[in-house]
Amino acid sequence: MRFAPLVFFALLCAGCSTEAGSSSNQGLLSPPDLAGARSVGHGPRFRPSPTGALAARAKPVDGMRCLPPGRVASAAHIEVFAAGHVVVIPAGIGFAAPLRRHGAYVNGGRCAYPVRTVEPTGLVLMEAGRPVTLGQFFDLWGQRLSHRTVAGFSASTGTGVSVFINGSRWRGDPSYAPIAPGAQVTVEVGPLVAPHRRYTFPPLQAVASGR
Amino acid sequence: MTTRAPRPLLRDNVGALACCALVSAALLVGLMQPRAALADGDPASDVLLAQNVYYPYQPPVAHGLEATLEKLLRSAERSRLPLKVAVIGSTGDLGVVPSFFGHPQAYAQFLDREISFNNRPPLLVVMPAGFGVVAAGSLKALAAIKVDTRHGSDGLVRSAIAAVVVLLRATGGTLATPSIPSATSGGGGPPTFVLYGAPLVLVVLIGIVALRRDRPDRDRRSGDASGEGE
Repeated sequence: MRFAPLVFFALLCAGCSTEAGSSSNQGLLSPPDLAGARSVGHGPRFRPSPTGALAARAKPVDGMRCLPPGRVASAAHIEVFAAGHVVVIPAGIGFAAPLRRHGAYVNGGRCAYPVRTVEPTGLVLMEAGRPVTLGQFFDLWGQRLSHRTVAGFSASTGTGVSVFINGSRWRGDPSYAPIAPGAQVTVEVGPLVAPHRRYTFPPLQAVASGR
Repeated sequence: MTTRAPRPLLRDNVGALACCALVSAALLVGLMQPRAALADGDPASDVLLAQNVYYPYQPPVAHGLEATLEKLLRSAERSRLPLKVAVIGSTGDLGVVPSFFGHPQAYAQFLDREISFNNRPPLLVVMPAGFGVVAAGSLKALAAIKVDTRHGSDGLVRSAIAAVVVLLRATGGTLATPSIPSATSGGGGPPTFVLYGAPLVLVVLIGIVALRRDRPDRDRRSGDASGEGE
């Protein structure tokens, strides 16, 4: 009898597991969840090119040099929203042209910077070493970032660019926001999109080895 | 000699019951988590903008299977079924919305909203838990197909191939059954019973610890009761 609560709870958990494994169980997600999905915006401004002018020519960017790719030590995830829509962070940021593409992915380039993207998902790979800021990442990307502008978008009068790190607002200059290993960074201009607090990262070696 | 008074079960196990209630609440909160999920942030939604298939991160899919699925999708496109396929092997394939894992149809609807613009591409989602379909026919058409969960990513992709064939035929398309390469790679990843069993084991362990911590208190109380009885 002493273990009655445990037995009860084990049954409860088994029920939960069975539910999670069932394809027919859709009742746990209510319509507002689906309404929260954001689509990519229309037009080229929402799909910027991956390489800035300096990175394309393998020139140093903010003290970062383009070298043969080193071992990836960590990753962070960045999302950019403008006018309530997704701005795609493309694969190939942090590689000098010509890029080696494979479908949606970039497997390499002439050389690589210590911060780069190999897939268009916002996953940012970082080699070991000094910390990286959002400003450095945008410089590699060749996109603007300030209190008033993000990529090709400007804040309307009386508003500004918002940066969230793991769901908490960054109060300083957006350029100085740190991209720490494992961080979920959200950059927004326009209507507020509730920022995510965390990102479920895939195994690093699975990303770094390319597809 | 003293006799112990019978103890009410509820009072005895109050610690364990409280623990159960707390963990149950946490589990329920976990299950409801997608409510907070706003926006993009799942890898498939970005990848499917540039290609027709999203493959799971790990284990890597055999190249032969990738080629077979992509060839099949080109055939489907020629038959006016331009399918997009998301193969989701773990929560690592869902980014900011991991709680959709195990809910293929709900995730298919979520993903559909992210990748639909002027048109609405037919979409198939494959997870170990089953299939999700949007604008590509009826989910019932896939009822006879059991997702292969024993061969990692390769098994999921094989199931996707089988599902595409069924969906295409259901829409009137003609298609020869593709030859599916045998398993040569992948096969890794935790089995389903580990994925779902591990949380259960953890919770039971927490319950046992709670019971053990509760026991000295009860023994002390019963000792006190015995003393009073003397």
